[in-house]
Amino acid sequence: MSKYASLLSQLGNEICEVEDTEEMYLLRMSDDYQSKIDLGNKLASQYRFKEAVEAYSSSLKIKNDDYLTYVRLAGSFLTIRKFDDAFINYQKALKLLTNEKPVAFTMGAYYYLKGDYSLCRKWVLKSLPSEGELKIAVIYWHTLSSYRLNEAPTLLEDYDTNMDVGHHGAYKLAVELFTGNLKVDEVLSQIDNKKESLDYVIALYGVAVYLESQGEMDLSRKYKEELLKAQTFWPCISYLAAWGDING
Amino acid sequence: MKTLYIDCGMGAAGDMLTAALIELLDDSDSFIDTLNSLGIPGVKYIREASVKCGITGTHMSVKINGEKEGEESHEHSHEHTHEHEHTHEHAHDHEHEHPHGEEGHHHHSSLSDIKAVVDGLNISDKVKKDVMAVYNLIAEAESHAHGKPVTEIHFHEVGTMDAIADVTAVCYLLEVLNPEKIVVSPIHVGSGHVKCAHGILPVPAPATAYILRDVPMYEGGIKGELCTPTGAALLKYFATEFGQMPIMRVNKIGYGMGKKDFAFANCVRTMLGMTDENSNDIVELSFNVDDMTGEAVGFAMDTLFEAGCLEVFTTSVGMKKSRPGTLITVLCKASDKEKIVEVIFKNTTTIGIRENKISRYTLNRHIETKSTSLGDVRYKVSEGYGVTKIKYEYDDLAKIAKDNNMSITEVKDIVEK
Repeated sequence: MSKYASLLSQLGNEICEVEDTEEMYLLRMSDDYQSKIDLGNKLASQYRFKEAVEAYSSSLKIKNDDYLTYVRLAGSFLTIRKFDDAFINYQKALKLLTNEKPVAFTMGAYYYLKGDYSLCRKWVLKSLPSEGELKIAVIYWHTLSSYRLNEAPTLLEDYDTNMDVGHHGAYKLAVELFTGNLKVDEVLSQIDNKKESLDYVIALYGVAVYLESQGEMDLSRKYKEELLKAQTFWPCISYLAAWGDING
Repeated sequence: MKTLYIDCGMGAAGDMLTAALIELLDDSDSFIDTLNSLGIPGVKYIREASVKCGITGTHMSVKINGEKEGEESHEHSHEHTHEHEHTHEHAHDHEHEHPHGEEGHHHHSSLSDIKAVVDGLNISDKVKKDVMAVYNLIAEAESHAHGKPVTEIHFHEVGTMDAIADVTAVCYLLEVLNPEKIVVSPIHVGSGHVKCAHGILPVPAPATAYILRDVPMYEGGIKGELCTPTGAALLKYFATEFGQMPIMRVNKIGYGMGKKDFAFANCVRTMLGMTDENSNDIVELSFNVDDMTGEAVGFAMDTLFEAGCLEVFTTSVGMKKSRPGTLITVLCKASDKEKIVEVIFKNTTTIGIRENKISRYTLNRHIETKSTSLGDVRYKVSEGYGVTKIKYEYDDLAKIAKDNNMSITEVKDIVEK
């Protein structure tokens, strides 16, 4: 029995073969708000985003004043590429907030996956200032958006080699490529032994879009197809972006 | 009669009952200070305003040595600080946020441990006795559920200090509020399954189900444990009766909110007010007889009055096979019904009794005495609904008439002057 739902079970009609854990069974046995949220989180952790949408939606029938629930619901919709539903729920989350910052990065991801790179840049910038861990992710997506827009990647100026990026080493590796501190081969050699990892997907997608900006379209496509083999990480933004680039 | 009605349409738990009762006090804030001075080791009561489904009420929580009982400090810190990753780059990482199983959080206390704590509290002997009686109900239920003697029972969810705090607070509050009667609605216990230290159990949990033997309860349409063993034991111990809300004039209402949110407002509602014992919960019992003599009917009527009936009267009726018979109608308090039914079957030939629950309206009555030239005469004063009626006691008038060789009318004329 698979631990994670496949991409095709969530974006297509393949049967989802992941089963509930005992804890999830118990959560389904309770009609309270928090149990539905917890169930949604458990389903999302198994990549069962279609069902997570149902769980989060049912929680909102009980209590609808927590922005985080809308963010979770929107994120689940976004992961299964239901862009309109994702947008509606991000807007509801924003209405409950006095400032946009808590939702800014995810809104940026939404616009990137939707193909609106100008708005992606605008929204990810709204999540700054922040600590290095988030900031490096912002620089990464802002730069990829700039490449897609054929504009100068201005946020790279804010990158500091010594910044503390926490566990976001893959973003940093890609940004090192964008700044010219590393070459493509050097990045590839650093991720070659991590092919079944999230870092591999993030870094390789950065390489692919960078190559695209250099006019290396065939090589870019090759790397995107390569990273799509790391199916365990299909719900991550980089994977979904590559999937969208290839499949439209 | 000062009556407390507890609406358990969303079940009950110790903290919910505490909160709902606190709302009935005139000065609930100072009462929190009083609770915090009871001397429960390490316990601090915290009162918080809570809104469920648009209804404002009170949520009570307890801090034990500065921490909320059951709080998991590790929980969800990652989620809050890195929301940007939530559904995407690290969705699978959520499993890391629950490194502990359920078992590690339970504290175990024996009944004697609890008694030692209760004995040291700054509360009356009555409240101490009530607290231990409630815990005995729980212990008996746990004993039955686990097949162990009460002395070997160790409390899990109910043994922790916050449960002691809840039970003590409810017992203390009821001493302060001092209702003469406590009516508890049928209890919504919920359905489904719940996980506890022993494993996955059906709802209501076995201990709760045992405590609520002979108590009207129902599953309802909500999945989840709505009534805890602590809540069940408190209700079972203090309820004067279980049933629908009596006819009462309510002057205070309290809402005690639970921790969880449901589609229905998750609260216990309390209502404190006055019931008129003369005007409510009346039952009409009636039956036909066609084989009793007039003397036997008279004897039965006298016996029924002596048993506490409010009214007994007969009506001539025609019965089956064209037999003339007697319809005997009895009015009594609902609480006396079982006793009256026994008296009817014992003293009449009937083999079946019809029952109707009825409402009636009565004037408040009291007896006064008037001094007259013929001696003292008692009279009944009936008041209410804007009227006052006076009626002299026939027995007194009759005695005077007999003693003075006068007619009742003559006596009445003199007395009324």
